[in-house]
Amino acid sequence: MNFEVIIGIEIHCELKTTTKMFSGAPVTFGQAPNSAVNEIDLAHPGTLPCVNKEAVRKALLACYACHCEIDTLVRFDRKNYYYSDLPKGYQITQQFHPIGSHGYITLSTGKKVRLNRIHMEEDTAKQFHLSDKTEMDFNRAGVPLVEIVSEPDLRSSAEAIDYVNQLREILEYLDVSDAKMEEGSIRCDINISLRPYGYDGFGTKVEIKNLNSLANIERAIEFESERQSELYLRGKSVIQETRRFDEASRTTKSMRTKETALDYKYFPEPNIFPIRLSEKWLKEIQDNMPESAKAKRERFVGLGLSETDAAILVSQRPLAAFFEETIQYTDQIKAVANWLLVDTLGYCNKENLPVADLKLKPKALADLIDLIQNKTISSKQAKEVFAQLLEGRDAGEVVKSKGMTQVSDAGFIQSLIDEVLAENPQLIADYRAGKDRSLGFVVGQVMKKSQGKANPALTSDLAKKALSGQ
Amino acid sequence: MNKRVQDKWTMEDIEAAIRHMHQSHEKLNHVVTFVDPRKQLLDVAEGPFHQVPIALKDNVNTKGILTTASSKILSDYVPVYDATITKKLREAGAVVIAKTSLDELGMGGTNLSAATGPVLNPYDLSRISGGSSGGSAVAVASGDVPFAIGSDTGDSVRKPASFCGITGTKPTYGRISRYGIIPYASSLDHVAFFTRNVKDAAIGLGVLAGRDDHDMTSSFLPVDDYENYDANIEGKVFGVLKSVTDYIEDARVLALFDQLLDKLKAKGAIIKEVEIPYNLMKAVWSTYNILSNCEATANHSNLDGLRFGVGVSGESVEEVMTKSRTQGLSFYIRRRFVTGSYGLLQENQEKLFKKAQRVRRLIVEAYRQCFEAADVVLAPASGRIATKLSGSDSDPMSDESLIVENWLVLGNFSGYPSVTLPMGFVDECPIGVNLNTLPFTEKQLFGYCAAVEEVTGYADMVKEVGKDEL
Repeated sequence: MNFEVIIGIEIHCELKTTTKMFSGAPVTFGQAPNSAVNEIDLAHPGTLPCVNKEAVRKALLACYACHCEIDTLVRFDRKNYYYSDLPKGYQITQQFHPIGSHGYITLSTGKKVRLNRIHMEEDTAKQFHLSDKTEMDFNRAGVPLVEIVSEPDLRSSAEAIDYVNQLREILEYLDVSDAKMEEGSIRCDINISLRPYGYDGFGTKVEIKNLNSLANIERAIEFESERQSELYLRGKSVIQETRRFDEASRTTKSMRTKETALDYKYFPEPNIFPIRLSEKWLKEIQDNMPESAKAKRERFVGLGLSETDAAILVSQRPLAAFFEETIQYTDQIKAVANWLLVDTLGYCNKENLPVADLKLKPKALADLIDLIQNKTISSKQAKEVFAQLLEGRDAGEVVKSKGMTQVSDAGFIQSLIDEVLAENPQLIADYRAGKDRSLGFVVGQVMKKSQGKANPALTSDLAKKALSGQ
Repeated sequence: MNKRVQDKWTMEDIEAAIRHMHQSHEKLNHVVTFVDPRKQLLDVAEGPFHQVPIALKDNVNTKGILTTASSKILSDYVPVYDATITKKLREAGAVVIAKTSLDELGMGGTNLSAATGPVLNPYDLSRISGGSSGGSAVAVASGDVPFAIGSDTGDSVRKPASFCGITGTKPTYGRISRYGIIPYASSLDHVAFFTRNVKDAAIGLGVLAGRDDHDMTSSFLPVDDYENYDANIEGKVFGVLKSVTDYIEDARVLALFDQLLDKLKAKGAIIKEVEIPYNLMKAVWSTYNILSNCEATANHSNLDGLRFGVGVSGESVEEVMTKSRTQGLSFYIRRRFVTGSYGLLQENQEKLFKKAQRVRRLIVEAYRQCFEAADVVLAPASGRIATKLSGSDSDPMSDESLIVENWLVLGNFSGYPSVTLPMGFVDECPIGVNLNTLPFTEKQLFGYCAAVEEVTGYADMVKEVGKDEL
């Protein structure tokens, strides 16, 4: 590549609230179309917006976590354009006074990516274009969003993906959003331009709309930088335009150029007076910030876990939460991590099951680990019990119903050894003649007679003594 | 019928009111929909409006009852929800018997642009009722009902009140919820209403006023006991708005006003002159024209024929929207939207929309200063009686047209409370006087109005137009 790639990202993130940004209709995912709408979402004549305080709180959490300056006077504006997915014919957004500005995100490399702004707005309806008609689902209309706009600080598709991942982790851990690209709760627009290395200015930028996966972000950036590079090398210029990523051809296609760009005729929303946020409320929010992923990883390492284990646990919020709940019930912290990272994740991967959907209960896992620790069951039995716990059962109940309690009664084990030796009198002679196999045979027979319940270590000790005549 | 809200009403009275209204409608054409009250009569609440028949302007949403805003595009619109004031009036015992005509979407001052045709003035059938709340004004003036809701964005209740010889009350912005009123311009729209006396107006405001969580611009201030106003004006300063009276051309109107001032003086009032700079008064109309149309064009972008209202079929969603709007909205409305859009275009905002907002602030500040010298500011509500249906030959750019016929907009720019009540007759047609006070001082304002009513003797005027009279 002859050019430096300059990338800025705009992310639309759906906030996890129970009701919509400006109406009392519920926020849902995967419900029947048009089942979560009211007259406000449908922009019936005479309806008025009412700001969702919880959405503002979540937006503030995002702002604080991204080190933004807060505008404590919350104001909204109208963005006017006619489109069938926009019921009012305008979107209520924060064009002139975003709630947060001048923040930053730290990439895994330590590089800081500056944020231009974080602002609140409302989502549009979903459209389904069929061959002969367009179907509309207004469930998404009015869902609270924050738009997070970076400065053009990213230089490669790898950095872009890192940025999205960092942001996703922050939003997920704040419980601000589900932050799931696959469900559309996070959507990306990429601004991309090229410039010769060493040049300070910027080339003409192209915006690529609505990228819905990390893979597509990567492909779109790769394709687009190649396309622009080729244009420059052939002595042509890049035109400022909005393009979309076409999944089928894995290319970007022009949607509209600067000449045909819309004038959104922004003006202040007259139906919402400016809202002054109280110092007290802001402090309350700051004082109750959920723990960030980074802080959680550090805390897990402090508990004695390796960096890698801590990182894997934190990589999925439900997994980290499972870990934390489990260690409420047992002090075997490393064992909990092992069971989660090896057996539990293994099961999830095999069954293609999200951790959040596990039937396994943290208390059951903790009990299992304690039963192994106090030698009530063997580690071999534990695997069998674990399979039952995955069905949602309790550890104690499984162990009991299977009659798995390990026997450590020396007298009882001794009586079984005596039985075995009486049945096989030559064993003592063999053992004394140096045949070690005899010990194994005795232990095996005792396990058989006890139906596997005899404590193997104790059995071995006692058998050794009996054979050697001590 | 000249029964008042404050009187006792029976079921027979309601029936009589309905019959009366059918008869006057034949002459005046002021009703869009006669509401069958049977369902309401099953459950009439006790309260200040117990069994009082009322009319609502047809831009007030009534669940299950056609609400057209006198526009073709909403000619089949049946709301799924009630406006807040519809609920409040029902909870106070009122029975809605009609939805009344207005200038299309509330945008006009003549009531000539209603989809159902012009509304006639009961005092002279060759003259206009005034608008945009002409249907409601006429319903009260002709003796159908003692109370009717209107809305006032420029002077849409206070001007027709003047032309129809009744009381028109526009309280402070935010005093009455706008939720469920089909809007015109959000920052200027007020719920306002007609009565035939001041006491009824005070009772009405007591029912309608109050915070509504559905309207974020509604006030949290407690609702006054408006009925206990004090009509003693001794020592009160009545500020005559010289900036208006100077430009009234009809000497008969000025004579009526001077007589009124003399009578008020005799009651102990102190008469002073107050002024607003001429250049600001001359800018009122153009400032209003820009602001109201800019807000209106956005407010009515929801009228696209897709989710409600009259949709015209087309090859694409875009075509449905374009055709529905072109065919469903009259030329004058579309012209207003073009004006508004032009004012909002990025390249024009600074010199049109934003400039108009700044001028609005200057005008309001000058208006506020008038109240430093006066307890109440007053002037004739209009320089002339209702014009002929065929139109007026006055120069639209004269000082009288620009200043005298638009000064009531000061009440919308400022949001200050404002009441028109009858002052006398010219050519056997009524003309009103308009009184104004500072925000949320409606109780005091009603006191000044009661004093005016007392000295003019024009309370409870009815102009019957039934078959017997004609």
